[in-house]
Amino acid sequence: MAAPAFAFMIGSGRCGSSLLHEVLARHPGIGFLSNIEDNLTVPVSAGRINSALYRRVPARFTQKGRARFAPSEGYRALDREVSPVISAPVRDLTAADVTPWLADRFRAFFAERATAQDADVFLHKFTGWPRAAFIHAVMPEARFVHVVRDGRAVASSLLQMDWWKGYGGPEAWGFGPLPADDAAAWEASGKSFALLAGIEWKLLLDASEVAKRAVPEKQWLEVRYEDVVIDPVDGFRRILEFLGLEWNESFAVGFARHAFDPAALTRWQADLDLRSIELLNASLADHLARYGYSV
Amino acid sequence: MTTSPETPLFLLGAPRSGTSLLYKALCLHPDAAYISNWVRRFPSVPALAALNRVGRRLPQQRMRSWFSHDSNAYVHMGPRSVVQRAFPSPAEGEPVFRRCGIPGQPPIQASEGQLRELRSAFGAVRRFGGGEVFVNKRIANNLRIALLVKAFPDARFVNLVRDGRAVAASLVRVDWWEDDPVWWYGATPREWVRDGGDPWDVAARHWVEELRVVEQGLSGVEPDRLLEVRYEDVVDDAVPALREIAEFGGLTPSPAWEGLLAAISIVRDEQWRVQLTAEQIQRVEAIQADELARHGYSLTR
Repeated sequence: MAAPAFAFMIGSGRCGSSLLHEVLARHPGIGFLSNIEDNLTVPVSAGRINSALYRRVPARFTQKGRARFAPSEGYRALDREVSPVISAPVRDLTAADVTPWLADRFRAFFAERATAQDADVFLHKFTGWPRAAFIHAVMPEARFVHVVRDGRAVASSLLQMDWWKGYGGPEAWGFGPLPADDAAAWEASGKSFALLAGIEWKLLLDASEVAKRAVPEKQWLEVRYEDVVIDPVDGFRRILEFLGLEWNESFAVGFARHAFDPAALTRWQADLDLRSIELLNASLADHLARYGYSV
Repeated sequence: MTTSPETPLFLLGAPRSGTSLLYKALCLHPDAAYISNWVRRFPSVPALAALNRVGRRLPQQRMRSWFSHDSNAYVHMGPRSVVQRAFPSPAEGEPVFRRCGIPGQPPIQASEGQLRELRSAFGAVRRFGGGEVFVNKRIANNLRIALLVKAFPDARFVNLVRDGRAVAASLVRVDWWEDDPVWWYGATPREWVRDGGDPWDVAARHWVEELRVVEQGLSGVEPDRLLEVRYEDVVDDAVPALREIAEFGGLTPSPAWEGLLAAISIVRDEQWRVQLTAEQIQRVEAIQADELARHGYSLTR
């Protein structure tokens, strides 16, 4: 039996990475941490049924906000078994954060599960800070799928989340102090929450660009969420190819359980007011252009 | 171009041109209605088309039953389990045509009453089986295009053309070819050989004759109701090509359907280049040269 490969899907949060992760987890070759394992202290071997069970679950029973079974980011489990430094760091994690005890726990957390699940590829998702430089230092063979979505759509979505801490201002939002330019823009905007949400996207994108430099090119795949939603077959085929997996019959059937709605990609234009859009356009212009989004 | 529930999509093409693959690929679409193996077996009971709905609910079993391991849509020759044989699958459905009094061999004639019967039979399949667009592939349809246009003035036609050398090479390998009457010859390929003919000649010419009769039939079809597709272009980039064909046929884009298509490993089969001797290739090309050139296939010499 070949040793399992490890892959991490990373993104800013509210960037569509959950949908991508959930669809990919339908592949019989992919192992993952489930929300059950995150919420309950269960033996690692319990994850053995994750893939088989999840492939039989209709998409409506995987949706957030209801009793469901789905892949999880597993922060509670990581807190229990590794360290809270993984789940809620105030800055991005780098190779400098690797200590022997932390590396051992982190590696064991994923390796034990991948082995128990007999996975070809164990895929885990992290949102917020990319943590990629840290992960690469601990697991040099790991691959990264970086999901990017239009920052204005991300900001609009963050504003609608009950868990977003930005309403407490930059002092409470969990991403450390604002860079000077952004702090000035935030003040000048009259402390626009939409702008703050956009700045969060920008900070996390900057962090991912720094982290990317620590990872060999062939182990990093950049994916625009919009491209996947517009042509899901092409998008997922690229990701599967990157992960070394085939688009097989079993995955096709699981894939068919999910819906992709291109019309929803522009919903942020209706959800945000004109002033917020103008603030975001001005603040995010360079980053948006870099990823092919027009202002 | 308008789409109505009474706008069927007919798939035309010489046998061994990939029409079965195209047919099954389109029938995977959630909005496609089709004659199944059950309705073919019991054409007087169109309610059996309701089993098509079962097929949609068992997508994995459906994929396994419709396509062989190498994704060959022509699965009848290989070993298949009872479950696979019983599973509702798209069939050419000649018994349905026959029951309506529609002939499959020349002379092709039908009364208005018989055409009404055909419309009614297709409508029943669509009603019981579900689906918006009735899709049908039947090689004999190549000979009765004018009649189909008369029965369904809004019908759309896809003409699938494959390299004639690949078609000839494939024809001589399939089990039914030798004893199947050839409409333009009036006898079987076995009899052709018994009469001193070369087996490659009859296979090569069959492609030419099928192409000609299709072209003749399609001359009465409005250009916007006709799509000509090269099989090689479909296999080279299957999902976009099949998406275009589906849209032409009035089937709305569906990522779920495209996901199923992506699981079928459709690859270009050019085995004729190594299976046929140089002499056999020359023989086939001598007969097919004009049609090959007309459809953009270059000769080996």
